[in-house]
Amino acid sequence: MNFAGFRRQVIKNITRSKYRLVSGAFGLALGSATLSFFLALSLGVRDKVLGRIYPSNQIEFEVEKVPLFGLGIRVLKRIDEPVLNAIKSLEGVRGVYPKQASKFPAKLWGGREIFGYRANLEAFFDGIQEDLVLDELRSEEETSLGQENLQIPCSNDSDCPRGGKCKDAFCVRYTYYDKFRNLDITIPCLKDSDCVEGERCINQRCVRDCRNCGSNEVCIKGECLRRCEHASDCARFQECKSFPQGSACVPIACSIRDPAAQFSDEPPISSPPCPSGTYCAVLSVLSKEGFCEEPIPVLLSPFILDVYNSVAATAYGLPRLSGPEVGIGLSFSILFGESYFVEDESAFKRFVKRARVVGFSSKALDFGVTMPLKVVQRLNAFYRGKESAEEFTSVVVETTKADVVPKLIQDLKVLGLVPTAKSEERKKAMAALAVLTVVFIALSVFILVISSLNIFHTFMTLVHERRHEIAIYRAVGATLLDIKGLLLAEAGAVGLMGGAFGVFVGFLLSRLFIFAIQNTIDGTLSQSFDVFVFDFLVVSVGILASLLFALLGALLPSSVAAKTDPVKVLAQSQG
Amino acid sequence: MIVVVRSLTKVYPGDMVALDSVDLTIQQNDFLALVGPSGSGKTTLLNILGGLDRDYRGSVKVDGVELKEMKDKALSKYRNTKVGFVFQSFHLLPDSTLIDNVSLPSLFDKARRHQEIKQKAIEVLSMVGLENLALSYPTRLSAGERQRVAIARAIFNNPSLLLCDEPTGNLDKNTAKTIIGIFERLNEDGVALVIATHSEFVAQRAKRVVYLEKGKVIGEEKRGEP
Repeated sequence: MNFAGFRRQVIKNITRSKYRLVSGAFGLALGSATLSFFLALSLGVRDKVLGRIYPSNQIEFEVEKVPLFGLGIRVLKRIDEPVLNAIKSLEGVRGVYPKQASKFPAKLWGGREIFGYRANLEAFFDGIQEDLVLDELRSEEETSLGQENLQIPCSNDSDCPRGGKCKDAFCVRYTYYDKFRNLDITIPCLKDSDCVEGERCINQRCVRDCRNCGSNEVCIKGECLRRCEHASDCARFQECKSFPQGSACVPIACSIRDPAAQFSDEPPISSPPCPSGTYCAVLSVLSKEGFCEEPIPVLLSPFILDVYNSVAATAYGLPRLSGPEVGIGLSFSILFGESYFVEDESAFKRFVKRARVVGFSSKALDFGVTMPLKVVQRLNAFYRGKESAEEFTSVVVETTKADVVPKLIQDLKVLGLVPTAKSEERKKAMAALAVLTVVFIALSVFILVISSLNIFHTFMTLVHERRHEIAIYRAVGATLLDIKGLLLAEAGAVGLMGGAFGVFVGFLLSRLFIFAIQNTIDGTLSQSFDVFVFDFLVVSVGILASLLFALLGALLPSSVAAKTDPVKVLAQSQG
Repeated sequence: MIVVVRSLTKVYPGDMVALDSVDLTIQQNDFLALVGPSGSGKTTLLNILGGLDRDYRGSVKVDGVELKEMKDKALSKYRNTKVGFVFQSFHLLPDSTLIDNVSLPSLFDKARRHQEIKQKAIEVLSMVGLENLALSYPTRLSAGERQRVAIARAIFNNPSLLLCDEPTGNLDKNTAKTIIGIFERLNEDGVALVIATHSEFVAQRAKRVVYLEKGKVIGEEKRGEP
């Protein structure tokens, strides 16, 4: 068949039967709109909601706890470095990220800039590796914060170091990732065992042991320090100081006039001689001497925001917060070693640090504050000894693919590890979503089946009406396939148009849905909130499903058309 | 092209014999008139010769190839390129222009380009004297004009054999003369013609007349040049 002529003929056929075909396409559009709407919603809930809370290729494990008939629980194993190495060696494991909970009391206060008065709370912490939240923080930053050009040429994201993203042929890294990192804050100590592995206690603070000095470092009075030539080679809270062994970055020493000033509502972040953005962190609540430091970067869980908006804001008549971005940059003070519930530590073991919220993450502690892992390990070592810093509370295992998770669970069971309650919740949530998705897709398919029957009826009528024309086509040389092709192409065009229109309608409905949600939930939802994923897959499935059901509907009519007996039909119309 | 028909028998359901052991040979440049009363089997014979009806006994060979053994694709190509049909009721597409009606066979011919198709359609319309009405619709034409359009469509792909079923049956005598004039010109150009007709006038213009009655060939008459 002549392609150009064939195309013209199909367009002509559609044009002359447009009203009938539009009614046929209506059902397909409805089915396609429903399908794309629910598919986009399911994918959105999976990726943007559940995926954030429970990433499909990340699963958290903890040690198996055996209940002892009302006498508490018995822990069979511990998560330590050898266990982490064993997990790393398993097939399908891409990354292993240990977590450690704080094993010391603490209080915190702050929040006057948001709430209008000082909030005092008992503080709980955990520590996570910075890499674990890299991608999550990055994707949030893309919408609101700046970026740093790494000056590395690239063609796609895989050319960039972890955390980098290829943009305009150069790798960039978004700023808040850099801020959630271990800052080598000063941790006091009395003896070497108060410090983590690789550190020792010198002048009542944990410092890096010279045995671990690298080529760009120098050993000064038993402390391993980074070499420098200028102040710009050092961190903001350090200075480049000359020693007989060479110049090295050392913390800037500082002092405060009144130790009680640490307990004020909002101790100044910048206080001379400390540079801008740093403060004078003293070694204990009784001390006046200390070193300049940046606030500890911390993450909060979005759950805290929800609890605040739904409970605290109502109970205390406080303003509701519209989104996580409001909380970013919030700074507060932490008093380590004191508690509202348990006995305080000795005065030497009580000290104040400043902290600043650098992001929100679903991997952060639901009721507490999440710090870089190393900071929590160093604090745990100080309060509970070196050993306690080497035992982790749980471990997040990142797999190469989601489908290796069942085998991973079996393998880790042998090591005495089981998925955490949160991971079990993930399974249930994913299963519930899968059931809902299947139900909604079945509903859409049902609509498409009905519309396919409508297409069948429409095309049977068209074939009957056009039987004379079909007989002429056969008489002038049309093959059986030509006749089928003409009808199926017409049905295909109707399916494609109905599908495209349906996906468009599905998209509009999703916008309407988001608009309604944003205006219903009292303005507390971020303006960027969107729970739908209208990606290439959804659009393709929406259109192709409509195409498929249109073709299925027209299949039998096209065979009937192809079987038209030209002799009989032409004889009848000759009449 | 040579068509050889041997012992051709066609029986319709209900044991109605339409053709009974027909033997016939159609040579290149032949101008054959099939004459006989209604029901004598003329249309059935044309349908079989044109490859529209393959349900027959006996043999119909076109250049040595048996028609009923051809696959659908080959038979369709035969209808598209070797044979042209002209029907008594014209069988034009009412909602297509003359140019589209005439170029209909090109729709099923992969090789043609749009511009080439259009030029050829104008050319064949001018051969039947209707080039000025190329963009008109068949419903606006007289019966004679419609039959000329049907002829133009039949000769669009330069067929070797033109099968015409009562082509002047719906036309007055003058128009019939015009149509026969066109057929004669085509025959002079090398197209073999088989015309089923009741018309003595048409039969007189044929080179050969085959008489059919109750499906049988009851006589054959050769005539000189008209």
